[in-house]
Amino acid sequence: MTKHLQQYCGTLIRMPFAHKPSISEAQMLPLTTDSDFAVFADFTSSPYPVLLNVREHYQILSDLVAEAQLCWPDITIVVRISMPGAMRIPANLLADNVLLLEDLATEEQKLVAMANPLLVIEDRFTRIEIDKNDNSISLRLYSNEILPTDALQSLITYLDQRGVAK
Amino acid sequence: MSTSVKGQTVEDKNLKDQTVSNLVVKGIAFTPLPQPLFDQLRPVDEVMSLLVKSLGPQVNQLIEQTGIPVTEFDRHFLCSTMIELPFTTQSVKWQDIAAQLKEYGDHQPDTFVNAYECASWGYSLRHYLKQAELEQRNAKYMIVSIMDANVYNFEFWRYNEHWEHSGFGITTVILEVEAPLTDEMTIGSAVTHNGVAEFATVVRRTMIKKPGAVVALPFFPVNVQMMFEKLLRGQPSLPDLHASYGHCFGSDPWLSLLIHGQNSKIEQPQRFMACSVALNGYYAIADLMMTPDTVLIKNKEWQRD
Repeated sequence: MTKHLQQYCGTLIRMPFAHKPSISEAQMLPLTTDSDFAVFADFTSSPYPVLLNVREHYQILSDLVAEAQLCWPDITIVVRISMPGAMRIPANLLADNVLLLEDLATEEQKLVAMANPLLVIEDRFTRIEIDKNDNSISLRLYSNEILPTDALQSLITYLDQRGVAK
Repeated sequence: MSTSVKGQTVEDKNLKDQTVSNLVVKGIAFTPLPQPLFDQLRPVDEVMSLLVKSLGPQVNQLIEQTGIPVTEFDRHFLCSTMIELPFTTQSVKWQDIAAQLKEYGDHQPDTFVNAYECASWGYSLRHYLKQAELEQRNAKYMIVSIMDANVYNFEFWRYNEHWEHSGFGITTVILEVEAPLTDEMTIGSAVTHNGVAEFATVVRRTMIKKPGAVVALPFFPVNVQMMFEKLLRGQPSLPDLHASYGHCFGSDPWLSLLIHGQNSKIEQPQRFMACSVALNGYYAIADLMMTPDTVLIKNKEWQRD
């Protein structure tokens, strides 16, 4: 069956929740031994700025998933989440039509044949210094039906409000 | 030999007359990993490749002993709680690990899930069942592996105030779906801050609907064990093995079933509930049967080179 695809790529260029105080709650792995410090010191910092924390990251993902559910009630969603973030993931990201993964390639390849529609949310937002990410985000929407060119518009508008530029 | 189960003995139960679960454990394999993994730290990509050399053969060994054709396994998730920094720092890429695993066969893990921490195995299986539903087919066999290894030898992962000593290892579980599942899998997340206590109440509530089931809980220090005991109100459970193995993350309930099965010959199908809870409150509960045919493999501790 022919699959139709609409996609979007953007980059986070500013703090997504401007002028809103945010709790400083990032929890680094506690380091105690000399070996712990030596290992940690060897991790290189991302050349890209840290513009959001874990809570804000989850908020963006949760809002995107909520919007997608509204647009396409039967949607299957895969989301790249690399690191458990020392705080609870929002409930709608834990729903049974959502899977959170380290690497989406295999899952996307398999699901595209069977899920209709399928939304892939793949961000590489840098949340802590050692995240070797580039602050990019991609959305890919697959459907058995022809998709209008603005199919992703409501999600793109949301990302735009959160400081993501194309 | 009588099987030790808090509250009652398995022999006391006439399980033949009980309602049974449609989820059957075909096999469990576990390879303990030493702590530390090596006398001196090695590059993490090298460490991950060495772990693949333990996981791949273990999967093949278990499948072979169950007698299930490898072609029956179309999905295989690798889950972890604590292996995330190698990926976060991009010192290791999952696609490289998956390619190395593929050398041991197409039925090896092709997807890595750690977001749900210790409950990742349950969320992965839920996704697999959902996938089968999308394909309008009945899932038959499910396989999942769990790997937790202190690849950077961080002290936090060896011992911390949350669960005290950790245990490390590689687990592989094969399940058969004998008939369409109804409520065999309970997957969810706590809504309160006290996730572990809330999880215990969910376990108790679930057990009420599962007559004859014996619960295999995650391994925790004595204070948490006491909380479980009070909140489960005497529901039968397998012994907590924290003192022997430490907290082995998502592997705990499977190791518990494995040890139980090896210590007490299973002569008739027995019903259990394998339960895991994550520090952040995600939980997975699988209502399942162990049978005389369940393959149980406890490998010797992983040998360093």
